[in-house]
Amino acid sequence: MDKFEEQIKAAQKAYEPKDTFIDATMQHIAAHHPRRRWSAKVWAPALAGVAVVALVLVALPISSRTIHSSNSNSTTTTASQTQPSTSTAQGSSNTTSHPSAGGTDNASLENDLGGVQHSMSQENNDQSSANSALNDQQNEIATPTS
Amino acid sequence: MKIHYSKKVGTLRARALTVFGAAVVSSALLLTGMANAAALKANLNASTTGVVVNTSADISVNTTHLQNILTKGNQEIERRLATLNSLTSKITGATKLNASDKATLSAEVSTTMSGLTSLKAQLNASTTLAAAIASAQDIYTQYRVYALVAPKVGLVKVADDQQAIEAKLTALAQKLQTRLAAEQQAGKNVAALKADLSDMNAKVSAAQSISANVESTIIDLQPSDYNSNHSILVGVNAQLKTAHTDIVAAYGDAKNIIAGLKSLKSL
Repeated sequence: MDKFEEQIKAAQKAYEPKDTFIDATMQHIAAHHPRRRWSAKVWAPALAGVAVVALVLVALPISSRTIHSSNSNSTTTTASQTQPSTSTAQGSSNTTSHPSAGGTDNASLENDLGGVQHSMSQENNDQSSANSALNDQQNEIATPTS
Repeated sequence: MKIHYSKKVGTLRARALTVFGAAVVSSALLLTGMANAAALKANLNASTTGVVVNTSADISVNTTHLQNILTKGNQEIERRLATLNSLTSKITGATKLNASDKATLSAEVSTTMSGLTSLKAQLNASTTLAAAIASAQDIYTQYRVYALVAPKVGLVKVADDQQAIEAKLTALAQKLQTRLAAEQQAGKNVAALKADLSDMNAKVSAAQSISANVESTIIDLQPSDYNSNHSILVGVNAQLKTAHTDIVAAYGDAKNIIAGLKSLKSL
Protein backbone atom coordinates (compact mmCIF):
# COMPACT_ATOMS: atom_id res chain seq x y z
CA MET A 1 0.00 0.00 0.00
CA ASP A 2 1.54 3.21 -1.06
CA LYS A 3 1.30 6.50 0.62
CA PHE A 4 -1.32 7.94 -1.63
CA GLU A 5 -3.65 4.97 -1.01
CA GLU A 6 -3.25 5.32 2.74
CA GLN A 7 -4.18 8.97 2.45
CA ILE A 8 -7.38 8.14 0.54
CA LYS A 9 -8.45 5.49 3.08
CA ALA A 10 -7.80 7.86 5.90
CA ALA A 11 -9.91 10.49 4.19
CA GLN A 12 -12.76 7.96 3.63
CA LYS A 13 -12.65 6.94 7.28
CA ALA A 14 -12.79 10.53 8.34
CA TYR A 15 -15.96 11.14 6.26
CA GLU A 16 -17.81 7.84 7.08
CA PRO A 17 -21.14 8.55 8.81
CA LYS A 18 -21.20 7.30 12.33
CA ASP A 19 -24.28 6.20 14.19
CA THR A 20 -22.84 6.29 17.60
CA PHE A 21 -25.91 4.82 19.34
CA ILE A 22 -26.16 1.78 17.05
CA ASP A 23 -22.45 1.32 17.08
CA ALA A 24 -22.40 1.48 20.85
CA THR A 25 -25.35 -0.94 21.15
CA MET A 26 -23.84 -3.39 18.70
CA GLN A 27 -20.52 -3.11 20.42
CA HIS A 28 -22.23 -3.72 23.77
CA ILE A 29 -24.11 -6.75 22.43
CA ALA A 30 -20.98 -8.02 20.80
CA ALA A 31 -19.06 -7.56 23.98
CA HIS A 32 -21.58 -8.90 26.53
CA HIS A 33 -24.06 -11.00 24.52
CA PRO A 34 -22.24 -12.47 21.53
CA ARG A 35 -25.17 -14.85 20.55
CA ARG A 36 -27.87 -12.19 20.74
CA ARG A 37 -26.18 -10.16 18.02
CA TRP A 38 -27.02 -12.81 15.43
CA SER A 39 -30.52 -13.47 16.79
CA ALA A 40 -31.39 -9.78 16.71
CA LYS A 41 -30.40 -9.61 13.05
CA VAL A 42 -32.77 -12.51 12.26
CA TRP A 43 -35.75 -11.82 14.49
CA ALA A 44 -36.04 -8.10 13.99
CA PRO A 45 -36.97 -8.31 10.30
CA ALA A 46 -39.12 -11.38 10.94
CA LEU A 47 -41.10 -9.55 13.59
CA ALA A 48 -41.48 -6.58 11.31
CA GLY A 49 -42.83 -8.90 8.59
CA VAL A 50 -45.29 -10.54 10.95
CA ALA A 51 -46.45 -7.11 12.03
CA VAL A 52 -47.08 -6.11 8.42
CA VAL A 53 -49.00 -9.33 7.70
CA ALA A 54 -51.06 -8.83 10.82
CA LEU A 55 -51.87 -5.31 9.78
CA VAL A 56 -52.96 -6.50 6.33
CA LEU A 57 -55.12 -9.23 7.82
CA VAL A 58 -56.79 -6.80 10.13
CA ALA A 59 -57.15 -4.04 7.54
CA LEU A 60 -58.70 -6.19 4.77
CA PRO A 61 -61.80 -7.34 6.66
CA ILE A 62 -62.38 -3.81 7.85
CA SER A 63 -62.19 -2.39 4.34
CA SER A 64 -64.42 -5.14 2.94
CA ARG A 65 -66.92 -4.45 5.68
CA THR A 66 -66.79 -0.79 4.80
CA ILE A 67 -67.39 -1.52 1.09
CA HIS A 68 -70.19 -3.91 1.89
CA SER A 69 -71.79 -1.46 4.23
CA SER A 70 -71.49 1.32 1.64
CA ASN A 71 -73.03 -0.96 -0.99
CA SER A 72 -75.84 -1.90 1.26
CA ASN A 73 -76.30 1.75 1.99
CA SER A 74 -76.47 2.59 -1.71
CA THR A 75 -78.86 -0.29 -2.29
CA THR A 76 -80.97 0.94 0.51
CA THR A 77 -80.86 4.39 -0.99
CA THR A 78 -81.88 3.09 -4.39
CA ALA A 79 -84.63 1.06 -2.87
CA SER A 80 -85.79 3.99 -0.86
CA GLN A 81 -85.74 6.09 -4.03
CA THR A 82 -87.61 3.46 -6.01
CA GLN A 83 -90.19 2.64 -3.45
CA PRO A 84 -91.80 6.04 -3.30
CA SER A 85 -92.16 6.17 -7.10
CA THR A 86 -93.68 2.72 -7.08
CA SER A 87 -95.98 3.64 -4.33
CA THR A 88 -96.79 6.86 -6.15
CA ALA A 89 -97.66 4.88 -9.28
CA GLN A 90 -99.76 2.50 -7.26
CA GLY A 91 -101.32 5.40 -5.54
CA SER A 92 -102.28 7.07 -8.77
CA SER A 93 -103.47 3.72 -10.02
CA ASN A 94 -105.71 3.38 -7.05
CA THR A 95 -106.96 6.88 -7.12
CA THR A 96 -107.27 7.42 -10.87
CA SER A 97 -107.89 3.91 -12.16
CA HIS A 98 -104.62 4.09 -14.08
CA PRO A 99 -103.27 0.55 -14.26
CA SER A 100 -99.62 0.15 -15.17
CA ALA A 101 -99.57 -3.64 -15.46
CA GLY A 102 -98.85 -5.08 -18.90
CA GLY A 103 -97.50 -1.81 -20.28
CA THR A 104 -100.90 -0.15 -20.45
CA ASP A 105 -99.90 2.98 -18.56
CA ASN A 106 -99.85 6.24 -20.47
CA ALA A 107 -96.09 6.29 -20.91
CA SER A 108 -96.01 2.76 -22.33
CA LEU A 109 -98.90 3.46 -24.67
CA GLU A 110 -97.25 6.64 -25.93
CA ASN A 111 -94.03 4.75 -26.40
CA ASP A 112 -95.83 2.14 -28.49
CA LEU A 113 -97.48 4.89 -30.50
CA GLY A 114 -94.06 6.40 -31.15
CA GLY A 115 -92.87 3.03 -32.42
CA VAL A 116 -95.79 2.92 -34.84
CA GLN A 117 -95.02 6.42 -36.05
CA HIS A 118 -91.38 5.51 -36.63
CA SER A 119 -92.40 2.50 -38.70
CA MET A 120 -94.83 4.66 -40.66
CA SER A 121 -92.08 7.08 -41.62
CA GLN A 122 -90.03 4.10 -42.81
CA GLU A 123 -93.00 2.97 -44.85
CA ASN A 124 -93.29 6.44 -46.40
CA ASN A 125 -89.66 6.29 -47.50
CA ASP A 126 -90.15 2.88 -49.04
CA GLN A 127 -93.33 4.05 -50.73
CA SER A 128 -91.35 6.84 -52.39
CA SER A 129 -88.81 4.30 -53.62
CA ALA A 130 -91.59 2.10 -54.95
CA ASN A 131 -93.12 5.08 -56.76
CA SER A 132 -89.76 5.86 -58.35
CA ALA A 133 -89.38 2.24 -59.44
CA LEU A 134 -92.84 2.29 -60.98
CA ASN A 135 -92.05 5.53 -62.80
CA ASP A 136 -88.88 3.92 -64.13
CA GLN A 137 -90.87 1.11 -65.74
CA GLN A 138 -90.77 3.04 -69.00
CA ASN A 139 -87.00 2.53 -69.07
CA GLU A 140 -87.66 -1.08 -69.98
CA ILE A 141 -89.15 -0.03 -73.32
CA ALA A 142 -85.85 1.48 -74.51
CA THR A 143 -84.87 -0.90 -77.27
CA PRO A 144 -81.19 -1.14 -78.06
CA THR A 145 -81.86 -2.80 -81.42
CA SER A 146 -82.30 0.33 -83.51
CA MET B 1 -109.83 22.19 -155.52
CA LYS B 2 -111.14 18.64 -155.13
CA ILE B 3 -107.67 17.25 -155.78
CA HIS B 4 -106.14 19.51 -153.11
CA TYR B 5 -108.85 18.61 -150.61
CA SER B 6 -108.36 14.86 -151.07
CA LYS B 7 -104.55 15.21 -150.74
CA LYS B 8 -104.93 17.08 -147.44
CA VAL B 9 -107.29 14.41 -146.08
CA GLY B 10 -104.80 11.70 -147.04
CA THR B 11 -101.97 13.52 -145.26
CA LEU B 12 -104.03 13.98 -142.10
CA ARG B 13 -104.97 10.30 -141.98
CA ALA B 14 -101.33 9.30 -142.39
CA ARG B 15 -100.28 11.61 -139.53
CA ALA B 16 -103.07 10.40 -137.29
CA LEU B 17 -102.10 6.78 -137.89
CA THR B 18 -98.47 7.58 -137.12
CA VAL B 19 -99.38 9.31 -133.87
CA PHE B 20 -101.70 6.47 -132.87
CA GLY B 21 -99.03 3.92 -133.65
CA ALA B 22 -96.50 5.79 -131.57
CA ALA B 23 -98.93 5.99 -128.67
CA VAL B 24 -99.60 2.25 -128.82
CA VAL B 25 -95.91 1.46 -128.87
CA SER B 26 -95.23 3.86 -125.97
CA SER B 27 -98.03 2.38 -123.88
CA ALA B 28 -96.79 -1.10 -124.52
CA LEU B 29 -93.29 -0.14 -123.47
CA LEU B 30 -94.58 1.63 -120.36
CA LEU B 31 -96.73 -1.33 -119.34
CA THR B 32 -93.85 -3.69 -119.87
CA GLY B 33 -91.60 -1.54 -117.69
CA MET B 34 -94.17 -1.35 -114.93
CA ALA B 35 -94.73 -5.08 -115.06
CA ASN B 36 -90.99 -5.70 -114.83
CA ALA B 37 -90.70 -3.30 -111.90
CA ALA B 38 -93.55 -5.02 -110.06
CA ALA B 39 -92.03 -8.42 -110.68
CA LEU B 40 -88.65 -7.21 -109.42
CA LYS B 41 -90.23 -5.74 -106.30
CA ALA B 42 -92.12 -8.96 -105.64
CA ASN B 43 -88.92 -10.92 -106.00
CA LEU B 44 -87.12 -8.64 -103.58
CA ASN B 45 -89.90 -8.87 -100.99
CA ALA B 46 -90.05 -12.62 -101.26
CA SER B 47 -86.35 -13.10 -100.75
CA THR B 48 -85.46 -10.41 -98.15
CA THR B 49 -84.01 -12.88 -95.64
CA GLY B 50 -81.98 -14.55 -98.29
CA VAL B 51 -80.50 -11.42 -99.67
CA VAL B 52 -76.76 -11.41 -99.56
CA VAL B 53 -75.35 -7.93 -99.37
CA ASN B 54 -72.44 -7.74 -101.64
CA THR B 55 -71.75 -4.08 -102.02
CA SER B 56 -69.10 -2.48 -99.83
CA ALA B 57 -71.55 0.32 -98.88
CA ASP B 58 -74.06 -2.22 -97.53
CA ILE B 59 -71.36 -4.06 -95.57
CA SER B 60 -70.29 -0.79 -93.99
CA VAL B 61 -73.89 0.01 -92.97
CA ASN B 62 -74.35 -3.43 -91.41
CA THR B 63 -71.11 -3.23 -89.46
CA THR B 64 -72.08 0.15 -88.07
CA HIS B 65 -75.52 -1.14 -87.15
CA LEU B 66 -74.03 -4.16 -85.39
CA GLN B 67 -71.60 -1.95 -83.49
CA ASN B 68 -74.43 0.34 -82.41
CA ILE B 69 -76.41 -2.58 -81.05
CA LEU B 70 -73.40 -3.90 -79.16
CA THR B 71 -72.67 -0.49 -77.67
CA LYS B 72 -76.25 0.25 -76.66
CA GLY B 73 -76.77 -3.29 -75.46
CA ASN B 74 -73.76 -3.07 -73.18
CA GLN B 75 -74.96 0.26 -71.85
CA GLU B 76 -78.39 -1.16 -71.12
CA ILE B 77 -76.94 -4.18 -69.36
CA GLU B 78 -74.62 -2.03 -67.25
CA ARG B 79 -77.50 0.25 -66.32
CA ARG B 80 -79.52 -2.74 -65.19
CA LEU B 81 -76.61 -4.21 -63.24
CA ALA B 82 -76.20 -0.90 -61.39
CA THR B 83 -79.91 -0.87 -60.56
CA LEU B 84 -79.75 -4.47 -59.37
CA ASN B 85 -76.74 -3.69 -57.16
CA SER B 86 -78.72 -0.89 -55.59
CA LEU B 87 -81.65 -3.26 -55.05
CA THR B 88 -79.35 -5.76 -53.34
CA SER B 89 -78.28 -3.11 -50.85
CA LYS B 90 -81.89 -2.12 -50.21
CA ILE B 91 -82.97 -5.71 -49.66
CA THR B 92 -80.03 -6.48 -47.36
CA GLY B 93 -80.56 -3.33 -45.32
CA ALA B 94 -84.33 -3.67 -45.05
CA THR B 95 -85.39 -4.24 -41.46
CA LYS B 96 -89.07 -4.82 -42.05
CA LEU B 97 -88.82 -7.31 -44.91
CA ASN B 98 -89.77 -10.72 -43.58
CA ALA B 99 -87.13 -13.44 -43.86
CA SER B 100 -88.93 -15.35 -46.59
CA ASP B 101 -89.44 -12.32 -48.84
CA LYS B 102 -85.89 -11.20 -48.24
CA ALA B 103 -84.56 -14.59 -49.34
CA THR B 104 -86.83 -14.69 -52.41
CA LEU B 105 -85.98 -11.18 -53.58
CA SER B 106 -82.26 -11.59 -52.92
CA ALA B 107 -82.19 -14.81 -54.94
CA GLU B 108 -84.14 -13.23 -57.79
CA VAL B 109 -81.88 -10.20 -57.99
CA SER B 110 -78.79 -12.38 -57.81
CA THR B 111 -80.05 -14.69 -60.58
CA THR B 112 -80.93 -11.70 -62.75
CA MET B 113 -77.46 -10.24 -62.31
CA SER B 114 -75.68 -13.44 -63.25
CA GLY B 115 -78.02 -13.89 -66.22
CA LEU B 116 -77.37 -10.40 -67.51
CA THR B 117 -73.63 -10.85 -67.07
CA SER B 118 -73.76 -13.99 -69.21
CA LEU B 119 -75.97 -12.21 -71.73
CA LYS B 120 -73.42 -9.43 -72.00
CA ALA B 121 -70.74 -11.93 -73.00
CA GLN B 122 -73.13 -13.50 -75.48
CA LEU B 123 -74.01 -10.11 -76.96
CA ASN B 124 -70.39 -9.10 -77.33
CA ALA B 125 -69.63 -12.37 -79.09
CA SER B 126 -72.32 -11.67 -81.73
CA THR B 127 -70.92 -11.54 -85.26
CA THR B 128 -74.18 -11.15 -87.16
CA LEU B 129 -76.83 -8.50 -86.99
CA ALA B 130 -79.53 -11.07 -86.29
CA ALA B 131 -77.64 -12.60 -83.35
CA ALA B 132 -76.94 -9.18 -81.84
CA ILE B 133 -80.58 -8.14 -82.16
CA ALA B 134 -81.74 -11.37 -80.51
CA SER B 135 -79.36 -10.91 -77.59
CA ALA B 136 -80.34 -7.25 -77.21
CA GLN B 137 -84.01 -8.16 -77.10
CA ASP B 138 -83.27 -10.70 -74.36
CA ILE B 139 -82.09 -7.84 -72.15
CA TYR B 140 -85.65 -6.83 -71.52
CA THR B 141 -87.77 -9.83 -72.54
CA GLN B 142 -85.89 -12.27 -70.32
CA TYR B 143 -85.21 -10.14 -67.27
CA ARG B 144 -87.68 -7.23 -67.04
CA VAL B 145 -85.50 -5.40 -64.56
CA TYR B 146 -87.33 -2.09 -64.83
CA ALA B 147 -90.76 -3.36 -65.75
CA LEU B 148 -91.02 -5.94 -63.01
CA VAL B 149 -88.05 -6.67 -60.72
CA ALA B 150 -87.37 -3.18 -59.36
CA PRO B 151 -91.04 -2.25 -58.81
CA LYS B 152 -91.66 -5.66 -57.27
CA VAL B 153 -88.89 -5.17 -54.70
CA GLY B 154 -90.26 -1.73 -53.85
CA LEU B 155 -93.86 -2.88 -53.56
CA VAL B 156 -93.03 -5.96 -51.46
CA LYS B 157 -90.99 -3.76 -49.13
CA VAL B 158 -93.94 -1.42 -48.66
CA ALA B 159 -96.31 -4.36 -48.13
CA ASP B 160 -93.99 -5.81 -45.47
CA ASP B 161 -93.55 -2.38 -43.86
CA GLN B 162 -97.28 -2.12 -43.61
CA GLN B 163 -97.61 -5.57 -42.10
CA ALA B 164 -95.04 -4.68 -39.45
CA ILE B 165 -97.00 -1.53 -38.63
CA GLU B 166 -100.25 -3.46 -38.55
CA ALA B 167 -98.73 -5.93 -36.07
CA LYS B 168 -97.69 -3.03 -33.85
CA LEU B 169 -101.12 -1.44 -34.11
CA THR B 170 -102.77 -4.77 -33.24
CA ALA B 171 -100.61 -5.11 -30.13
CA LEU B 172 -101.34 -1.51 -29.20
CA ALA B 173 -105.08 -2.04 -29.72
CA GLN B 174 -104.98 -4.99 -27.31
CA LYS B 175 -103.29 -2.85 -24.68
CA LEU B 176 -105.81 -0.08 -25.24
CA GLN B 177 -108.59 -2.62 -24.87
CA THR B 178 -107.15 -3.77 -21.53
CA ARG B 179 -106.75 -0.22 -20.32
CA LEU B 180 -110.23 0.84 -21.37
CA ALA B 181 -111.71 -2.18 -19.62
CA ALA B 182 -109.87 -1.19 -16.44
CA GLU B 183 -111.06 2.40 -16.73
CA GLN B 184 -114.61 1.27 -17.34
CA GLN B 185 -114.43 -1.01 -14.32
CA ALA B 186 -113.31 1.98 -12.32
CA GLY B 187 -116.50 3.75 -13.32
CA LYS B 188 -115.14 6.00 -16.07
CA ASN B 189 -117.11 6.81 -19.19
CA VAL B 190 -115.10 5.31 -22.01
CA ALA B 191 -117.85 4.89 -24.60
CA ALA B 192 -116.33 7.33 -27.09
CA LEU B 193 -112.89 5.83 -26.64
CA LYS B 194 -114.26 2.35 -27.20
CA ALA B 195 -115.85 3.55 -30.43
CA ASP B 196 -112.45 4.85 -31.52
CA LEU B 197 -110.93 1.50 -30.64
CA SER B 198 -113.55 -0.32 -32.66
CA ASP B 199 -112.78 1.87 -35.66
CA MET B 200 -109.07 1.34 -35.10
CA ASN B 201 -109.49 -2.43 -35.15
CA ALA B 202 -111.57 -2.28 -38.32
CA LYS B 203 -108.99 -0.10 -40.09
CA VAL B 204 -106.10 -2.34 -39.04
CA SER B 205 -107.98 -5.41 -40.20
CA ALA B 206 -108.73 -3.85 -43.60
CA ALA B 207 -105.13 -2.76 -44.04
CA GLN B 208 -103.85 -6.20 -43.04
CA SER B 209 -106.00 -7.86 -45.66
CA ILE B 210 -104.71 -5.59 -48.44
CA SER B 211 -101.04 -5.71 -47.48
CA ALA B 212 -100.97 -9.48 -47.11
CA ASN B 213 -102.78 -9.94 -50.42
CA VAL B 214 -100.40 -7.63 -52.28
CA GLU B 215 -97.38 -9.36 -50.84
CA SER B 216 -98.54 -12.86 -51.71
CA THR B 217 -99.69 -11.80 -55.18
CA ILE B 218 -96.55 -10.13 -56.41
CA ILE B 219 -93.71 -11.91 -54.61
CA ASP B 220 -93.69 -14.80 -57.10
CA LEU B 221 -94.22 -12.80 -60.31
CA GLN B 222 -91.71 -13.60 -63.03
CA PRO B 223 -90.66 -11.82 -66.25
CA SER B 224 -92.71 -14.33 -68.23
CA ASP B 225 -95.80 -13.21 -66.28
CA TYR B 226 -95.09 -9.63 -67.27
CA ASN B 227 -94.54 -10.66 -70.90
CA SER B 228 -97.99 -12.25 -70.88
CA ASN B 229 -99.66 -9.33 -69.18
CA HIS B 230 -98.05 -5.90 -69.13
CA SER B 231 -100.71 -4.63 -66.72
CA ILE B 232 -99.77 -7.10 -64.04
CA LEU B 233 -98.66 -4.42 -61.56
CA VAL B 234 -101.32 -1.89 -62.44
CA GLY B 235 -103.41 -1.05 -59.40
CA VAL B 236 -101.08 -2.72 -56.89
CA ASN B 237 -99.65 0.56 -55.70
CA ALA B 238 -103.13 2.02 -55.40
CA GLN B 239 -104.07 -0.89 -53.12
CA LEU B 240 -101.06 -0.24 -50.93
CA LYS B 241 -102.02 3.42 -50.73
CA THR B 242 -105.49 2.39 -49.57
CA ALA B 243 -103.91 0.23 -46.87
CA HIS B 244 -101.71 3.18 -45.93
CA THR B 245 -104.78 5.38 -45.54
CA ASP B 246 -106.30 2.77 -43.24
CA ILE B 247 -103.10 2.64 -41.21
CA VAL B 248 -103.03 6.41 -40.85
CA ALA B 249 -106.63 6.36 -39.68
CA ALA B 250 -105.90 3.60 -37.16
CA TYR B 251 -102.92 5.55 -35.89
CA GLY B 252 -105.16 8.60 -35.47
CA ASP B 253 -107.66 6.52 -33.51
CA ALA B 254 -104.90 5.23 -31.22
CA LYS B 255 -103.66 8.76 -30.68
CA ASN B 256 -107.16 9.95 -29.78
CA ILE B 257 -107.66 7.07 -27.37
CA ILE B 258 -104.39 7.75 -25.56
CA ALA B 259 -105.23 11.44 -25.31
CA GLY B 260 -108.64 10.47 -23.94
CA LEU B 261 -107.08 8.18 -21.38
CA LYS B 262 -104.83 11.02 -20.26
CA SER B 263 -107.80 13.25 -19.75
CA LEU B 264 -109.54 10.49 -17.79
CA LYS B 265 -106.64 10.55 -15.38
CA SER B 266 -107.25 14.17 -14.50
CA LEU B 267 -110.91 13.65 -13.64
